[in-house]
Formats: sequence, C-alpha cells, structure tokens
Amino acid sequence: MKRERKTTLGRREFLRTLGAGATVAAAAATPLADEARADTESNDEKRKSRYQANSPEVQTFYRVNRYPS
Amino acid sequence: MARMKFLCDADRCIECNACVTACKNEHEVPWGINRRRVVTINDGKPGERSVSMACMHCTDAPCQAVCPVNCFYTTADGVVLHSKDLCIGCGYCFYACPFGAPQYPRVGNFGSRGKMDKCTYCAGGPEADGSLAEYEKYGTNRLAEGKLPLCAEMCSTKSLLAGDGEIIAQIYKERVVKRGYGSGAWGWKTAYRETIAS
Repeated sequence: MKRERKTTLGRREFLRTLGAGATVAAAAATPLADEARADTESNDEKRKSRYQANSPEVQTFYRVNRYPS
Repeated sequence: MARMKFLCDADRCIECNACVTACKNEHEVPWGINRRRVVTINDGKPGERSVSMACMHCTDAPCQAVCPVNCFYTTADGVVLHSKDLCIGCGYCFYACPFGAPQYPRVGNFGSRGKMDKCTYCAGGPEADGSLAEYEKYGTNRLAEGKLPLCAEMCSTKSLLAGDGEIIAQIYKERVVKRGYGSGAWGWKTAYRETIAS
C-alpha cells in the first residue's frame, strides 16, 4: 500500500514538471503579443479638419449647383 | 470653421436612387446596409414628395450620447464618425437615431449583429487617410482628397446638396427665391392644377 502511494506521487510530480517545462519553453519561444490597440489615429489626428474649401472639385460643385443663376 | 451638412431639395428629387447606388458602390457597403435611402411620401398620388436621407451629422448627436463605449466622435468639420474597433454592436445608437442612420450587417441579438455601419460623409474613420484599413472598415475618404460626398456629386437633378452649411443654405435660398417652394414652385400648377395644394 505504501509503495503504491509513492509511485502515484512520483507520476504526478513528473507530469507537473513536464507541464511547467512546456509552459516555460512556449513563453520563451514566442514573444508576448503587442498590446491591443484600436484605431491608428490619435484623438487630435482623427478629429482634424479635412474639408478643402478651395479645391477645384468643391468649387465646381458649388458653382454647378448655383445654375442657372 | 466650415460645418459640413446635407440638404435635400425635395422639389427636385425624382427618386432615381442614384445617390443610394453611388454610396453603396463607392464604399462597397455590405449587403443589408444602405447608408443613404430615398424616402417617398404620398407615393403615386398628386403632390408626391421624395427626400434622400442619411446620417444628418447632428450637432448634439443622440447616437453619440447613448453609446456605452464612447465610439463616436465629431470632427472639426462637424462630421459624426465612429470607430468600428470600439463598437460592441449593442444597438443603442440604432434606437436613439431619429433618422435610422446606424445599421448592422446582420439581424440578431446583442453581440451577433456585427459592427455598426453608418454614413461617414465620405470622410473615412479613425484610420490613416487613404489606407486600406480605412477603406475596408469605413469606405473612401473623399473629404481628405478635396472632394465632397459622392451621393451629392452624383445627383442628376442637383437635388442633394452637400458641403459647408452656410454655402449650401445660400444656394437653396437662391433657388427658392427664384422658383418658389412646394405648391408655389414653378411647374406645380401645370402638373397638378390649382386644386391640389401642398
């Protein structure tokens, strides 16, 4: 009875060591993933004005929509 | 600072749906979503009126107010945009918006509808201007290219106006002064006679 118990504990210990070793190896092999990031633009960048009032397209749109006056 | 607005001249809209098609094509909008729609009242009756509707880019946007993850933001041009990276698809904005602008790619319960999609005023989103990521999530960024929304540029009857609110209001005012409005507009009596007023 006593011998059987010793054998069981040994197997568990072996598996525990194996599992810990595998975890350490995996962590060492793959670098930590980058921090999760939403959007590439900063708060100021995404809010900045993009409308170009003097561009030819915009000016043409306003002129054409004033027809026939 | 200019404030971007849409203005639909309902006296000119002929319900051709070119604005809807142009938007879907330009931004490759997924199935089931129309960022712009044409609403017709009194369809088939005298005095029928059509209005092209999309996100109105409200000053105090209700969608922005109810969003639990704060994914909406207003640009310096007054355009209301949102981040699909932050959106959790809860649907609050959908219920809050009086124009039905926010839409989802799938029908379902919380978490299964996908990311919300809405009109961006052709101004992209919070990704680098003109990048592939921006195009895939939000569509073309025409504003950054010095252009105006394609729906308005495509309008054959020049019904849909887009651009600086003050300028397009001035254009609309010039039209109304010249041709009148509603039943007083040029051609109304010819089309419907004097018996029908609107």
